Amino acid sequence: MASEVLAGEPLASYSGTAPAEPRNTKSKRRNVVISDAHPFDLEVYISQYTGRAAINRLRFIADECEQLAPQALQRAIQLIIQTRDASLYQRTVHEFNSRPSAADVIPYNSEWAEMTHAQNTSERERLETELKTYTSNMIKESIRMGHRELGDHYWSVGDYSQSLKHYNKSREFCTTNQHVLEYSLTALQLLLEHCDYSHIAAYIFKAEAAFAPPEGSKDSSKKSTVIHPPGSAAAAAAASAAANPDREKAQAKIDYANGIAFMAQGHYEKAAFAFSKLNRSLDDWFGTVVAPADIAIYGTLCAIVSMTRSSIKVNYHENESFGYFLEQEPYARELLDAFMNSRFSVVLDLLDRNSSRHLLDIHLNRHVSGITNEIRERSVVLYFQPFATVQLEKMSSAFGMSVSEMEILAAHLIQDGRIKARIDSKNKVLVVKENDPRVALYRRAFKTARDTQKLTEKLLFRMRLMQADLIVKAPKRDNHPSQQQIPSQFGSEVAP
Amino acid sequence: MTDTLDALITKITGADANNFRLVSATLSAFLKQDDAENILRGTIQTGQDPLRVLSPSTTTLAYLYILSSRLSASGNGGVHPSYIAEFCQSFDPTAARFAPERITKLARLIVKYSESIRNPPFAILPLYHLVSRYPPSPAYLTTIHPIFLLSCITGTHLSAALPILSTPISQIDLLLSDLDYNDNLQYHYLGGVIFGALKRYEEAEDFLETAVSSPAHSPSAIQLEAYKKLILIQLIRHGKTIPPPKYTNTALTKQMKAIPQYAAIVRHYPTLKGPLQEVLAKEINFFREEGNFGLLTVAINHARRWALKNLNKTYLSLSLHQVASYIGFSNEDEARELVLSMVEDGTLSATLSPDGTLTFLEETLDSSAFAPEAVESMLRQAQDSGELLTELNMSIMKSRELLTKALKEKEASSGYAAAGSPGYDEEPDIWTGGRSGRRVDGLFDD
Repeated sequence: MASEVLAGEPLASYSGTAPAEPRNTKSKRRNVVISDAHPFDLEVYISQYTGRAAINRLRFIADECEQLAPQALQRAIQLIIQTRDASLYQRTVHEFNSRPSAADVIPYNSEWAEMTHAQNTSERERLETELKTYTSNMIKESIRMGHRELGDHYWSVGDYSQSLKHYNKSREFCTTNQHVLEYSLTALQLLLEHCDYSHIAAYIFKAEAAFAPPEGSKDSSKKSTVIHPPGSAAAAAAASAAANPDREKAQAKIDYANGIAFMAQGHYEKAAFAFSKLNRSLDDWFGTVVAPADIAIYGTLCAIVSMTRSSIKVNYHENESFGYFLEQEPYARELLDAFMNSRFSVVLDLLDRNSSRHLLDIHLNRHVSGITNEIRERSVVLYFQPFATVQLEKMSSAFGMSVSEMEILAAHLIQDGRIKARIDSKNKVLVVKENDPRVALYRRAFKTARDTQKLTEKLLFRMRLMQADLIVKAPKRDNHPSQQQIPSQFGSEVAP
Repeated sequence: MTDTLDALITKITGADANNFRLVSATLSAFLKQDDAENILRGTIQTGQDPLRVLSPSTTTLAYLYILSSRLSASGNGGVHPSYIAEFCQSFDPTAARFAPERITKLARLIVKYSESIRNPPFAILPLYHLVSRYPPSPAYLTTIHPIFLLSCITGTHLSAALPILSTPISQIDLLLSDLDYNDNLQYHYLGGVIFGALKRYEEAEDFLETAVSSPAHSPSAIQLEAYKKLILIQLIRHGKTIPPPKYTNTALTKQMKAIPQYAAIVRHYPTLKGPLQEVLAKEINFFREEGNFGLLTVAINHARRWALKNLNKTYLSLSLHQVASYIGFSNEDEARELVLSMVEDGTLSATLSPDGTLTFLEETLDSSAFAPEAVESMLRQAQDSGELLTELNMSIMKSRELLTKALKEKEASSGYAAAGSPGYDEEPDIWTGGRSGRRVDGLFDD
């Protein structure tokens, strides 16, 4: 874990913003526009989150959307002042005041900042002294607690890498699987908060390892569902739900983290399976890490972008526990229904209408354009499947785009080999490629025969060469004297 | 011990003149003398030129030794061009095969001779006779082959090489000709160059591929050069590169991939717009220095054809305006020209209507290709080569080398002796490429 530690100076340490930095540079130019066609209600949205989850999202929205920036930053400052993160406070106030269009200025409450900073310092010193005492006394459990508390402390002041460092140290002093699980889940929460997707898998692995031993064979089967989700993973999850609510909660957290990690890597199908297993037992993290509505959106988008219709049906459409999430975000269910009923223009409309909601999501942002394109392409492929010929005009109206756009998209899909058809550009018709299997077979047989013949000859010649030991060897004794004379000029000298 | 040229000639033209082995032995013994070469260059007692006295057809070996010795002297030993021509035309191949090194030497000397008289094309004809008459069949590779091809290239008379190139090499006999791996590489490389320059890209691809995939412990520079040309020719022929055979030296493939200029061309081909143009503009001197500029130009000119062919896969009909914009022409006329030329030479089946709409036709099936006769001939070919392989497999299975090796292996792995040495009782079946195939390969591995 890369963690440059700036010796205990939280105000100077910007490590907490490390994951936010690339986002800033990348998306400064991308400005999400909120309009009637692309509505987004910041108040409703942010009320689903609490604490740092809310602050991070507000700051993210401020980065992404010029329109909402003042509102979001103001709201963020209100929330930050309730925490102990003085450096974040300073930065956010600075950001707010340095906006070019800043009409009003939020005064920097230096008194609060200094006080908080002082408190933080004394708190940290106290915790560090305690930890030292524990360490010298060699009490494992206390050392673990000490590290954990320091981790909590650094987290609350916004020093991400120090926090993770202490959590990781606490692991060495874990005595029971329960401790390891607790530690892994805390770390996961921290990683999720900072969008550090690449490390999630490692902690999931640790959490699952801690999970396995106490309950025998049942667990191993359950564990395997995480890696190889079968047809109805949700059913399996539901079956074991009754067994142990605590375990169920931990499992839900792992599944969620897994889903986010897969989504971040672009493995949408795996992500969709992971999300489909979630249910209400994730409630510990609702608000602090994720909102139920988010899960509805992540799950739905990942599903329709990657899953086959039958598995969408089993894992989402008929999955009652996921229904809970869909209730939180009604358009997600509409999206699913429209996709399942092949009403593709509705699907694309909904995607477009909610694009700002998607773009302003901290995890989804990077994927929006990719997912939207992919859904559009999949829809075209699905739409075309039953036809032998389709008028491009009809097709384009079904997808709500112009004929020329449709033609370009179709050409692209044909070149990718996803539609077996050709475009009659003059008459604006898409026609299925006719394939005479008999001819194709003959062609292939002849080609194979010729190739085999050639290959045999070549191999025989090669064998002869080897038999005669005419093998190129490293030039130790001679330096290929004859090589120099070989004219490699092609066009210039030799060619007619 | 013979000392004078006269005595030597008398000896070898005597009773045993037709015992080539003896003659050849006498000559090589003679060569061990200190001033043998000088004696060979001398005249006979009467002051006559021995080459005038001897007959190239009946006393081939003596003629060959004297001729090659004279040619290697300074000033070409006063050899008249007609001697060379006459010898190459009328020498006795059976006799000549007893002196392979001398033949190789002669071939090289002919090239040198042609250079010294400032008439490089002169070498082509004698070498052609030499290369076509010396081996028992045109399927044998000899050391003369690469020399001949090179002289065709330096003599700028490429088509002269075609009769030789038309028979693929399949035989190697080290007794016939003291071959070096370079001879094989050079022959196939130069063959590829010649075919490429003559725009016969299919054969060029074959020859270059053979050079590239020749067995190698570490790749040679010729192979790398061949690979570069192979890639460009594949772009011309297929519009993309085709991975070399699996048995190609991996270090070679890696080296090739590490050359950024070629990698860039391959990546962007055949889309002419954008990056490919940039690479071309930037690296034009690189390709000139590489000597592959001519081939590259052909490939680039072919790119438009590939782009149009790709359109065929996507479209049934489209306007010339669209064609022009997809392929990167500035106006429709250029597009029309390209379409017309492709339709004319049969690479594209399409119609062009007066209003500028290009309609692709379904590729018609050439029924003659699938006629029963064609199928039958193909089957017969397959059977023939099957039989050949069975025979070959049998001969390998009973060969001393395999048996010793198998025996050794058996001893080494006596732990599971029950498994025995790899299947003598197995059906000889090289087609499956399974154990028997591996056995064949393994035999010559070390």
